[in-house]
Amino acid sequence: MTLRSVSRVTDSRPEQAPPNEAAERFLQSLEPVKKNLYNFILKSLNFSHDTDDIYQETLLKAFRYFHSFDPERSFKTWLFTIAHNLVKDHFKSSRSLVLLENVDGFAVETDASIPNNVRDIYRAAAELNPRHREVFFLYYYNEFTISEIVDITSLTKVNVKFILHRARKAVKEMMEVRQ
Amino acid sequence: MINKNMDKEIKQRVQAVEQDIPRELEESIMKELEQIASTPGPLPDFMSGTKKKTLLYVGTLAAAASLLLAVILLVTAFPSLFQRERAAASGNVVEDGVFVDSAQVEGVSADTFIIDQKDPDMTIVWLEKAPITTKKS
Repeated sequence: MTLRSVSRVTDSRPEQAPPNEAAERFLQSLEPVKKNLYNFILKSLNFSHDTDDIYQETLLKAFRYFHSFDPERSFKTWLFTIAHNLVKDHFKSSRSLVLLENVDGFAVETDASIPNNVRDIYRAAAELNPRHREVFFLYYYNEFTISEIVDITSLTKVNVKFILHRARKAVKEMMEVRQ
Repeated sequence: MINKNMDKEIKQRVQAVEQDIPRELEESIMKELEQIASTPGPLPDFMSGTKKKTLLYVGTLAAAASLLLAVILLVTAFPSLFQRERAAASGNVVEDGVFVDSAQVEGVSADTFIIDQKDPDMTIVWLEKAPITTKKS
């Protein structure tokens, strides 16, 4: 998705300037965070094939509701909040499939180029429950602050810290077993 | 104990795995976005989130104020509607202090209640189902 595509939309329909301006602004804001968003969903879903659907749904939903986005807020946090809600809904609606995904969708496991110490981290993360795994990746992969994670997940600060503590502990144990 | 170095190490390892967004997926999303953008609808940002919130806040405040004003006017205009006749308390006033057995207070039966004898209306100060154990001094 490039800005050229946006200008194509704008150029072909000059009479619809306001929507296209909004579309352009949306895509401009999206550009620097989209890969991060895609990988967050991918990792939160344990490398499941459903990642593409959730990613697409996140962007379409964000685009539809872009008019309600408060420009004083961070676009990245807003977008990740939408993604978080969709990931949560996904786990709610397919609770019985989660176990299957943990086994089948673990792409890191089959990629020979990935070093063992990296693989260990992902093994430990795969063992976490979905909510904990999300918080773990929001913090360690996306580098959100605890306050931002609170905004995204609507968890309390104490809860986020507790989840991170549990996740770190699990990862540490996994690393120690390896050593 | 988890130190900052370990935190950094976890971060590095987690960030070492990153996948590109599939090109077909990007193209398919772009098509969808174009379609949404081309259909006339509420997409234009005619009102930002902040403005909308402020409007909602002011609207709620105005509605609450109007409701309060209406209630005040109603009470002032028709005070009789909001006055209730107090039922006469029946029972035996023993002495000042003061307790009465098996009485009816405003339609509610009370085993015991205290009344203020200094008040000509015999204002009920306290009401209880269980008998009072207070003894007069």
